[in-house]
Amino acid sequence: MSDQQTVGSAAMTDLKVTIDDVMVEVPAGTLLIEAAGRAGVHIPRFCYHPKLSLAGACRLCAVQIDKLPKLQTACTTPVADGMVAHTNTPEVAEARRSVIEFLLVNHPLDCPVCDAAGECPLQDYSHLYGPGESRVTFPKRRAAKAERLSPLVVLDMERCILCYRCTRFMDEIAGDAELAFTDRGSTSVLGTFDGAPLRSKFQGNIIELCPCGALTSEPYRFRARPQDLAFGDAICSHCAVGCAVRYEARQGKVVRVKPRQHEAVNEVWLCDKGYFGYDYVSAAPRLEQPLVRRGDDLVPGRWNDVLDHVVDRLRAIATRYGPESVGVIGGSRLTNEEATLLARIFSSGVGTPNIDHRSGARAAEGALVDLAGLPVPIADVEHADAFVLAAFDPSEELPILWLRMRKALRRGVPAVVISARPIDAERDATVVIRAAPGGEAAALAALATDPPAWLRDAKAPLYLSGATLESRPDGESIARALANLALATSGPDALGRTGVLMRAPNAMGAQQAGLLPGAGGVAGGQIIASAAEGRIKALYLVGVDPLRTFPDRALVEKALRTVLLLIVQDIAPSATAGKAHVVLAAAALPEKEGTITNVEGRRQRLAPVVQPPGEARTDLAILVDIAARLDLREPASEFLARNARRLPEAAAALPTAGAPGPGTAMAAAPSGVHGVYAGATPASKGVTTQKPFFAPGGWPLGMPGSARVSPIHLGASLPSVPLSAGEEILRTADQPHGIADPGLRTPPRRDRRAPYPVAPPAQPQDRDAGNGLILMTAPLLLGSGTMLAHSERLVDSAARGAIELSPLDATARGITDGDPVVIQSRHGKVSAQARIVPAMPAGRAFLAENAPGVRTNLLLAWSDMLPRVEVTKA
Amino acid sequence: MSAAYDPVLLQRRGLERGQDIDVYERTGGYQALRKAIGSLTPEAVTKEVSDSNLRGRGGAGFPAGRKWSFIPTDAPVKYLAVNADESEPGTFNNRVFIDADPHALLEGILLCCYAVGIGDAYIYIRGENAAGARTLERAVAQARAQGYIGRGILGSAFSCEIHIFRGAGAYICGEETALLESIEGRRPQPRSRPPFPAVVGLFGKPTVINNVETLGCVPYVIDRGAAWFKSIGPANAPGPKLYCLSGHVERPGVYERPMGTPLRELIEEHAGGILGGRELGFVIPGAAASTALLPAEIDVAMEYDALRTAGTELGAGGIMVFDDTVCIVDALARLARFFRHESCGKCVPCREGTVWQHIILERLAAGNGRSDDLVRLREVSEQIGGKTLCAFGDFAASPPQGALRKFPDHFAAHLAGGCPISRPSGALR
Repeated sequence: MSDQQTVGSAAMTDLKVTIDDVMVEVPAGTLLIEAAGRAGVHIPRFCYHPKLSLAGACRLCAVQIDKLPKLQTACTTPVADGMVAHTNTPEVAEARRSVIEFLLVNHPLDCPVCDAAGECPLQDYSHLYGPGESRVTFPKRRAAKAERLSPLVVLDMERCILCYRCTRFMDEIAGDAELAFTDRGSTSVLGTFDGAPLRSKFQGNIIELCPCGALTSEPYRFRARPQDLAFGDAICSHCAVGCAVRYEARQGKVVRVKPRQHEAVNEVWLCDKGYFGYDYVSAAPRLEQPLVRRGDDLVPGRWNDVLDHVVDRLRAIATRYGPESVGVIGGSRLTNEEATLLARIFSSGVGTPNIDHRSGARAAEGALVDLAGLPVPIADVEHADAFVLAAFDPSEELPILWLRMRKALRRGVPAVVISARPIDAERDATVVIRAAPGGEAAALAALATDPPAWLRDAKAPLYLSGATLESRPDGESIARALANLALATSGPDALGRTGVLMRAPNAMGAQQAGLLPGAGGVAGGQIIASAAEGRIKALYLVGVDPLRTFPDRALVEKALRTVLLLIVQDIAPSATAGKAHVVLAAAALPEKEGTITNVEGRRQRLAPVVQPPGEARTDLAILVDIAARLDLREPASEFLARNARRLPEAAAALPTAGAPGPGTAMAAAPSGVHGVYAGATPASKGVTTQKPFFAPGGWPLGMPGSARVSPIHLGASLPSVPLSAGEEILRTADQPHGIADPGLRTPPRRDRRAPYPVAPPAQPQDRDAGNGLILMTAPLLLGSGTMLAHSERLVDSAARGAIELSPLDATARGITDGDPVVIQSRHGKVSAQARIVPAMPAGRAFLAENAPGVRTNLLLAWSDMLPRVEVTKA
Repeated sequence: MSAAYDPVLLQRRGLERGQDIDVYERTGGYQALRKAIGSLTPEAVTKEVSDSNLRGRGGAGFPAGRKWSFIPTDAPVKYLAVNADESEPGTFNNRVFIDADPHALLEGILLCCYAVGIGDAYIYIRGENAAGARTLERAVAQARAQGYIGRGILGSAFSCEIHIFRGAGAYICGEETALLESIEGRRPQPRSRPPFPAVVGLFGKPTVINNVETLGCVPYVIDRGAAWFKSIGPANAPGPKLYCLSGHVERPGVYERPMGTPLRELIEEHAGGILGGRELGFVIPGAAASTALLPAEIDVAMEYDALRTAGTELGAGGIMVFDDTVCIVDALARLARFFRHESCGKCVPCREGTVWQHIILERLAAGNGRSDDLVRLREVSEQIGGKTLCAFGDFAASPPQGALRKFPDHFAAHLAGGCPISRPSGALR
């Protein structure tokens, strides 16, 4: 199958083509099916998808073209100048009727028990173009029903119409060639090699792409009918890419998430964390009211009393020990508005410099801070002509950004991957440098002395690293080495193409809002260390759970024991919250209004989709009340005086989650909250509000015949529709890359052209050299944690609760794949499963920091992040 | 009696050690390659093949020289794929030719590669033909040892490798783009065109795809000249042709005759007439995919254009002869099973339509036909023909369409519950 033609640039000659008497001019190379869309003519399709290669399989898009004897498939026909095509002839109608009839020969027509019913292109097209009655007089083919392709995806092979969208997506877009058809002809069967479960991180997309009910979502199965769902457009709250999503809720509970098209961000894709990871909102236990410690217990309190207590205690500690005795960690899950207020409360109000949204960060300033964020628009990543990826695991850290990178890599763009352990990105890399653990900075420096010619010659290279640098002792060294490689290889402006990419959903916004250490302040990780040493007396934690995530459990435990005041503001009970003096029950992002800023600096609007549970309040409401109780100096008090009153109105504007009518959008009208932020900082102009991302001819609303069809079949009463299988996608050619987008402000780079001074990295002494394996750790996409609480199937799908060992080390220890093992470092001991990874170098092991059921941070120490471990069979 | 004809393609059939390179060389082999490399430019080789009007022997009849000239000359990498998948019932001339004269095929391949500037050729041979693959592997080794294959062939700047790729047993692999997919290690399903293989072919590079028999003719075109080639057979389709005769004939086998030899001559003279002296029932002239001919129609010249005028196809020259004990409905039901089994399933009309055709034909053959089955069969076949991604759908749809037209009495009798042939129905199945 060939790569499809894309709409060319404006420089190319436009061709005139007439479809059903409507003439349009389109660039050379445009496919007839796309040209028809521009002419307002919807040509039905199953196998065609603008993001996938051409298949020409379903034949539903056959049209008549003047001077050609046979019908032609519009999806495989590039337009020619003067082409005249017809879709409204009896021959075309007969061809469509014929294809639908053939497809239904073996389709079970079990729509009443099929999840896809009501949003099914096969169903809709059958009603629009099908014969209406069956001529089939023989039994239908039988095949597997409800077969689990993975813990997330269910296959009903009887329903499959063999459009090959799923297999093409897996091969071409995800690069996970796990899904294939076996057997032949009408007995073709979709499946995986040996029946092994799908492991891809992009499984949700094949459910979205499926134009019938063959692939359905296991977590959503039988939960709802589309017409019963209320929904709201939102931004995914799992990582810093900020994909456009739609939350769909039944009876006030989020039951599924679907991608929306945003060409500049996620195109039409979602990773599985975004697609399946919604249970934390409605299904998982949530904090529903503020809690105050009474002895060993946390007991519910009234908001006013609890906040009075919070402010009294903060004021008392700040007065007695000085304002710098207060430390604030977190905020990268807040909205920009909330982050701004949090920063103002604690820097201007309390007056402490010890503020950091980066919970494990070591450095208050330096290359890591200078280079934070993606310096080019996400959409431009696919146009890069060389990549350097150092200590960066893009498919785990920012999966949808990885799909952008893959678009370039598939074209043959070269990439060098520097990693101490095997990662997925290496599959598509030109050069893989297997650095020693902690040796990435040295590898970068070595590369700088003799970079490959393709890197030197690259006009648009990208030098990228990832969020693990924040907490690594050598993180600053790696960031500097990356910057110095870029400067040495690609010239003085190269820092404009160099970035250390954050992971947390609004880390960029938090950084821009000022949730960083002030003068004399220390970084997030050092705040914990200072608290353990008794220098910081009060900890205010927002949406972070250091007991689980901080790479030194003993140190956190000590810090939490030592502080006089621990306040945790979060959405759900956590290990850390269990130790708190005060717990403030906050709303999750899908429950909030405001804006967040993604890794490329794109400010995007959130609208509340469901209500916070119980008495939980938005962080903004909590922070406003705290600020009002503090004796704040200007300008924060002015800020509050100006805006605070509008907040209750904002809350009142929230719709009632429980009782929306069928198909009612729950997104609230814009209200005062946005105004708060607009007045707060000058940078807030030009928020990207959600444009109508659906092409005028979009599926299924814009279908020319839709007026003829019952609204039930097309969902025509719905004010907007999610992307679905038949979606006619707005082409990027119509949307200039983010640059012109007022909502996008790529992270600035200091006008720095000189290399960073290189200090020899503070290599911790390898006290146990020669004994055991070096343990490398990093958080992976799917693991335990607040955001994936209750998403067991999703976490299972990743099957990452295992320590990865080299075959040599496993054999030497008598360990086979899947064995339970005990891992012991000088700091602690945990149990896990073993996984044997052939590409893992001997002497090293890898364990996810968020491995489900494993308290990895017991093995780590803040001063020893690459501990030696002994792994033994349990 | 037919005119005397000295075989060209099968001239070494039966020759002792005819598969060996020394015998091949001694009997004039590799002279065309030496001549081309020594004295002809690549363009001149292509021109000679174009002038000869050698048309593709796989069935489409596309002029080979023109196909070669479509390949962009400036492409740095390009390939030749040799279609030796020969999987259609009633077609076996490639097998006989490879067995008789493997070096002639290799020489034709090398001449094509020289003319088009190709460095690698792949022979895609059907998996079941293991003997043929072994024969070719041996021949390639011999030719390499003699300097005909490899780097700097015969001391020139021309380098060429010939790879032998065995299929895994699917009819669709004979479809040229499915063949390319198969070589690339993917599920063999046809590609949508454009782009055509001449532009984006094997491994994404410009690719010539020729049939074994077509390439087998090339050494003789170069050695003896286009004018000699055109002196054989009719002007619109000159040259020798390997006809496969099978079924109810006295002497089934492969017969080399000039293109355009009358079908009657092939059946009655070369194949020795109908088996057991019985009467001819019908003939399928171009293997499974062609419309059957009635006894009154067998004076037709066996070449592309005359057969198309007669409403059928030459195909690869697989002539299946059926005597008067065979009911066309039974034969069609058996063929429909073949097409159902071999449909790759990529495109909808072929995947679903071939199943439906087979079910109706089985039902009719068994005498269980329904009153609307004949109309339904025609409609279903019309819903396939011309509507599919590759020609397989047309192949599957045309036999029932032609038969419904030509054998109405057979169908009518089956619909009435009987069979016009006094024999228990279904015996062929």
